[in-house]
Amino acid sequence: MQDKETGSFWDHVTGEALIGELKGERLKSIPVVQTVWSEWVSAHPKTKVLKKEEEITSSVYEDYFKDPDRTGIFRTRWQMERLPGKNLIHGISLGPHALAVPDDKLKTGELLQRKLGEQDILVLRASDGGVRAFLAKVGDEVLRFESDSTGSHYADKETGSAWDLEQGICLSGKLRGEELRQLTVTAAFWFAWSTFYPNTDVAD
Amino acid sequence: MQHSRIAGIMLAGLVGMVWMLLSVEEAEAQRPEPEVVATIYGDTMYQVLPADRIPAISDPVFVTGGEAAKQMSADEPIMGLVSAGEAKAYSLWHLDAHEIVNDVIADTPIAVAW
Repeated sequence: MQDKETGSFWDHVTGEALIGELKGERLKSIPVVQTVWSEWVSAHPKTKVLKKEEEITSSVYEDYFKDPDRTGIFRTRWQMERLPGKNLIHGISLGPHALAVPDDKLKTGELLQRKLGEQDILVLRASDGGVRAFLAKVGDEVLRFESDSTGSHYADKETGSAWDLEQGICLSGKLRGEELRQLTVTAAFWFAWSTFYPNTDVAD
Repeated sequence: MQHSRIAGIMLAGLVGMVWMLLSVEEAEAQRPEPEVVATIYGDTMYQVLPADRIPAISDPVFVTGGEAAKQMSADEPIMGLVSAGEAKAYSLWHLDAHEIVNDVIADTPIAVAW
């Protein structure tokens, strides 16, 4: 990416400016939901959608996405011994630490609770198919979650409060109203993620 | 991705450089000799296409309701954002041809990058 204001070159995965007047600056990333239109519009009936200039009914990159041997434009190299290059992963980074969660490790309704560096995080696949991640703490208190007795919500073991973990919001109990800090999750092919984050962990 | 600093106003003018992954078809069809631009962290950075050859969207227009439904397929992948009660969606099929949308949400300038 390049900004028109200074002509600086930016890394679109890490948000860091690599060349130019703004070298060293870093853009703040904002978590987005990656899902399909039918899921999104049913959750947000009044949603705005970017207007298309013409009819578009497929991706031009379908063949590229499916081809295990095509990794980027040319001359890419990555850590082939860890995972196949075109495996889809969900990447999370926090400070100097990074984690790749293979797509097939995330089933709807299951929680991945683990460390990322020194921090406790929570990763889950929401009912709309998108992957969410949060810091698993309120203030300084680390929280561990489990399904509650109804099976449709989660409760933290520390206080027994009930949570909507797709939104990271506490619904009832001692921590009612508290919100978990949401982390950006980047859906990427392994070859790309491991290039930008060579020291990344891989969730197993 | 990480949050060390906000370069707020600089988000307003990002164009796609295509020195990475996405423009495989175009790049292969009519690629000029790739130019070495720099060395970054020990890797060579090539410029494959001129700046904004894949044009970023800078004055985004949005539709809602029936007009939105008409242009979208049920299984069409989107990126969605909710902020200050406003929900916005960007079709990934649409972003194939633009890669970056310079937009604003809740008074914050953003670059939506695919």
